[in-house]
Amino acid sequence: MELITRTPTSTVVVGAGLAGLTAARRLVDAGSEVTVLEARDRLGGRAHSVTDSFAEGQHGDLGAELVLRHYDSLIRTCGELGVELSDPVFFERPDTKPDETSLEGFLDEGRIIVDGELLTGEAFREVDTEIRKALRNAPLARHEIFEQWTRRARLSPRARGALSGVLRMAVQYDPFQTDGQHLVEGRLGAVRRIVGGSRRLVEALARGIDIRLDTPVLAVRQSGGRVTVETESGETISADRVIVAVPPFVVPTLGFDPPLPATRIGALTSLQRASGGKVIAQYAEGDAVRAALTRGVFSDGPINIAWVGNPYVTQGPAVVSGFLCGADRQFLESDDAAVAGLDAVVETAVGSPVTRIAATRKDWTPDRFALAMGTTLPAAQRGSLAAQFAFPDRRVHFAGDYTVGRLSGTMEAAVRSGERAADEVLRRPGRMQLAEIDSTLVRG
Amino acid sequence: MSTIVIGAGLAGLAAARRLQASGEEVTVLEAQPHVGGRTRTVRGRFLHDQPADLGASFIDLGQDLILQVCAELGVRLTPRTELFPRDPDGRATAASPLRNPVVLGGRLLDPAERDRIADEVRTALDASPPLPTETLPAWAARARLSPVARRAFLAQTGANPVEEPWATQMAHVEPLHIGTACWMLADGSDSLALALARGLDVRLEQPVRLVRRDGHRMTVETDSDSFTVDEVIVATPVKPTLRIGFDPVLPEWKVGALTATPMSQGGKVVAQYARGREIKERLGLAAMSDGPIGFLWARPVGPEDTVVVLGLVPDRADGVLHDEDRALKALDDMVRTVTGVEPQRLAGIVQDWPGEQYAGGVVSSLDGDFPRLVSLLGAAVGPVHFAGEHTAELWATSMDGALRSGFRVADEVLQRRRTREGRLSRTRRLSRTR
Repeated sequence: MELITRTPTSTVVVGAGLAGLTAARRLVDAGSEVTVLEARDRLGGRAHSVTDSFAEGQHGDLGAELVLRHYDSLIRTCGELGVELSDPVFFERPDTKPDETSLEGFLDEGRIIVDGELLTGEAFREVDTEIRKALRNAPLARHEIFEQWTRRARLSPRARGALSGVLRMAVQYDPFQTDGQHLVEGRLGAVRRIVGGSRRLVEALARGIDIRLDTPVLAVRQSGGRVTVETESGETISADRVIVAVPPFVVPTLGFDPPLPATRIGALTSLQRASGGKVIAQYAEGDAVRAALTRGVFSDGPINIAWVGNPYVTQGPAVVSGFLCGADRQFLESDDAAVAGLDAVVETAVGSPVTRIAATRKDWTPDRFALAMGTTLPAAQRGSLAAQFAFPDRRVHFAGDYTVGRLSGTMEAAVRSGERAADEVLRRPGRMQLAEIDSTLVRG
Repeated sequence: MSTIVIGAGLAGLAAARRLQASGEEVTVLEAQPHVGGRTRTVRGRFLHDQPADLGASFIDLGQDLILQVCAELGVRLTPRTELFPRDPDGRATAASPLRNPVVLGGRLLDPAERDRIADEVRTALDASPPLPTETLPAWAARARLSPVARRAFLAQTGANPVEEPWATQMAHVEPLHIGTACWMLADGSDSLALALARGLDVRLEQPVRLVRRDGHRMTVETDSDSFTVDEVIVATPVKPTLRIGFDPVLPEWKVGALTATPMSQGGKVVAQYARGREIKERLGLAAMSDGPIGFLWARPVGPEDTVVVLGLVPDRADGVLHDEDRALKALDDMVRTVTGVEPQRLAGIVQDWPGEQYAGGVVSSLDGDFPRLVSLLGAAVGPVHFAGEHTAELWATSMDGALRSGFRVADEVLQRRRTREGRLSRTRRLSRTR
């Protein structure tokens, strides 16, 4: 016998990113009635692949891209939906020892650019030795700000430069904005991509779901056991439950009646934004670019890391993604500066001039439906922050990568949060009306 | 007993001055080639010795500490002004700033439309009282403001605290606690810092890299020197503090408080124009917009009919703040739109505060968790004390708050000295007995 037979009949999901779509998919599969409201004219949120200007049908991922080995929910979902994952690439050195951290694994000859030059030979060995010694003599504390550690460990300017790209790659913050949790806790390991771009997963999740594009939400109001979502165009949609699956910085732009609790708003507005985005270009010298950049090249310049975004394409031109964040995100404000920065990194890595066929860029900071690439929760508070963000407010549930502690900022976190929010909705019993209680439960 | 103060902004200078007055040995280390921190003033760029305030501008009624310090040091203020008209019932509310000239999408609202919007916002404030922690857009949606009123209402975040709407809570604007009676420093906002620094041992261009415990004492290292002292006062803004190494590592609660305190991202554009009287008169108290210049006001008219106009530039990631020509042109456009006077710019300066590594932003955004955050930010870690506008129990984020924090932290150091002297004399007494 099933203990609870009825589930809430209708849910509105706000946001058609990975979190919202995962939640909607799960609810629809469980027989719930779901409407997804998406502010943009497209699906996917910060999982956004474009092909427009690229030759040979190649694509670039302007947002989320990497699939790591422990992304269990994402990998399972891809399997269920028939979304193909690529063969793995290893960013860390192949001979990284089991007890070495990511940070040590990234210390690789010929893959770090400092002052416009690749660190090789003696120059690399000096930096490598210095950093390893510093890690041994002054271990990086889990909650310590990375830049504070580089000062405490008395790293030379060159070693600081070498690590600046590595740290910014891991979190997309300037070194003074974040601790080094992701560099010292475990390893990156095998890195896969979704073949054809992250949009393949987005499209598969969205199949058959009632999604309304170009429908920004203005307010979410709860009263009388119902939730009403009001759109910017003045339309209202009522449901039993609402799942708010928008990025963390967008939550405070929505109206809530009753207002969200002070603690939640306080926690949201105290988050640091991972500001910036990507510049992506396609280069004609595909083989040379793949050879030099498939495993990623770090730099202390505006581009903190550049990598081949479609390594599973083995012929023809290659697409390279470069990240810009923190103070350097201003290079994304001009048409040429970001692309020039990427060209410089690619040429330095390849060792000869390259021919750019096409380029595109995306700054997520001024994007009103994102306001940032995302956030990395600080090591010291990540558990308590994520718990607070994930907690439902009466009939309003919250999904999004930022509601999953350590994984905040990843596609895996988005998928997990969507599954969790859908399960929250599904396990709440449907509302019983007074008349129904009287007629079915009360002994007359 | 000796103390190093890191940072020669108002907080650090106030702390150093009080300590020195109590007979302590104090040295102030400043990373920049000038004192004043974010009260920086540029002189010599504008005609007739008119100062260009690139940072803090206003002192408000109720900021009694800074008023008293100015009186004591003989620092003069400009004539009293207000920043906006009050509501018809005499109250200053979040609707009041909308009674100034408002530019939306490059267009100046006509006065009747503007007043209708302000009245709509005021009615909504009364009908749906905001929570202090509610963000501006959240309240505007809950209170069902019309689209145009919502847009105008959100524009005011560009004025105070030069922040984006999503990050600004209603406590900043309702009730309005600033701008009802305020003053500028007549000789530029760094005139107070200059007066405070007189007679102090301030070493310029000494960015501190590491603060470390050295037995029972503390050593402070810069690029070129090292100082061993009993106590250290860190009087740097939030972000620059995160660039200083600490050995031992700062405790989790302190790092957590620092990383949970963003700084507002924006800057200032200041220019001197001809036809000063006309501009000043037509501009009125101030103007605001949802464009690149969030807020605009003018200093008193200077010699030969010139006027210095100041604009706040929230960082809207549109490149304006990083392009001097565009920023100055945006200021010209705003002056033209608001006053109808064809601007004749004599000189201009743009200041990008987030772009400076020893500032990191305009001011702290303490919305997150006030006052718990402030108390954690200001709490000492052993002999390391923390001052700055972000640690002030009252008037945080302002010049007055910076001074308050400086005096508080000086008292902390003096208190530790008395404790220590007590301990020493007790030890001496015990030794004698033995």
